[in-house]
Amino acid sequence: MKKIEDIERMEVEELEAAALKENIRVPDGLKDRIKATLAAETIIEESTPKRNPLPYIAVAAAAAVAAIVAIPHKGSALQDTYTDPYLAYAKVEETFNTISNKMAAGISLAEEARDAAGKPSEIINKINTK
Amino acid sequence: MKRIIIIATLLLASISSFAQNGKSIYQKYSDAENVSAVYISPAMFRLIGKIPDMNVEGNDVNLAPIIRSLSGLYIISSENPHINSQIKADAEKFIKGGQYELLMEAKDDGETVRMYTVGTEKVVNSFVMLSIDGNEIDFICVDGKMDREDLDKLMADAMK
Repeated sequence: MKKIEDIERMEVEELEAAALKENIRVPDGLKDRIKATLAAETIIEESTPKRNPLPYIAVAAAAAVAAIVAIPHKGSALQDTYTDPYLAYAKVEETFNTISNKMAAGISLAEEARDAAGKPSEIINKINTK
Repeated sequence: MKRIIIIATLLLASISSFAQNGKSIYQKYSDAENVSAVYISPAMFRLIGKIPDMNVEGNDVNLAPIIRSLSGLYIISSENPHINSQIKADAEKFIKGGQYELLMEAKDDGETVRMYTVGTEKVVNSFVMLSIDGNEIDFICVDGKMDREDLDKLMADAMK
């Protein structure tokens, strides 16, 4: 009887020859069982829904566009409108003045509205005191 | 499948929020006809910060701390009626996307002025003013890390 080490050293052809020499009986129904297993595998494969690649493509496209938009481009650097800091400062000052003026206009409107809202109560008070 | 669609939607939403900011609005409209545009960079703000005695004329308001905290100023003034609605839409999209808080809205003689800020209780990270008056539209965006108290004081003093 051969040892496992000897069998492991044997070539495939030698193994096949040795197997053919042996008179081993194929179990009953083995052929049918193999056929049934193969058929079952085919059915499972067919019934498994194929994944729709569209959502993955959509995610990939969205990620690509996000990367393009989010990553700053070399040519997108803005150029300063002013090269002289004094001129730039004058513009900043002017901008803050504009904002202040608009804000002041808004506040004066609110004050006018407050005064107008107070008039009915003044009239009512006058009537009551008479 | 649903998860993938949600991820794609979120990614697209993030794209739209990236797409609009002061810089992108400036880039989009600064070269258009009948549009005047001003951009002041962080580097220029650093230079301005070195100017001694920065005061608003006649008011003795010290602009220095505010100026030094700024990192960008974008101004778009348009008298081009063909693009004004687009500027307004883009600015509003930017304001909405940037989660700006309405600071003030005033309507007077057909002019609508809205001011917005975004930041914390102590720091203003960005200030936006959108003024619409007939065929004119002004968009001002100031970015930086402005001390809210300094900004409030500056505005209050300048209004005196």
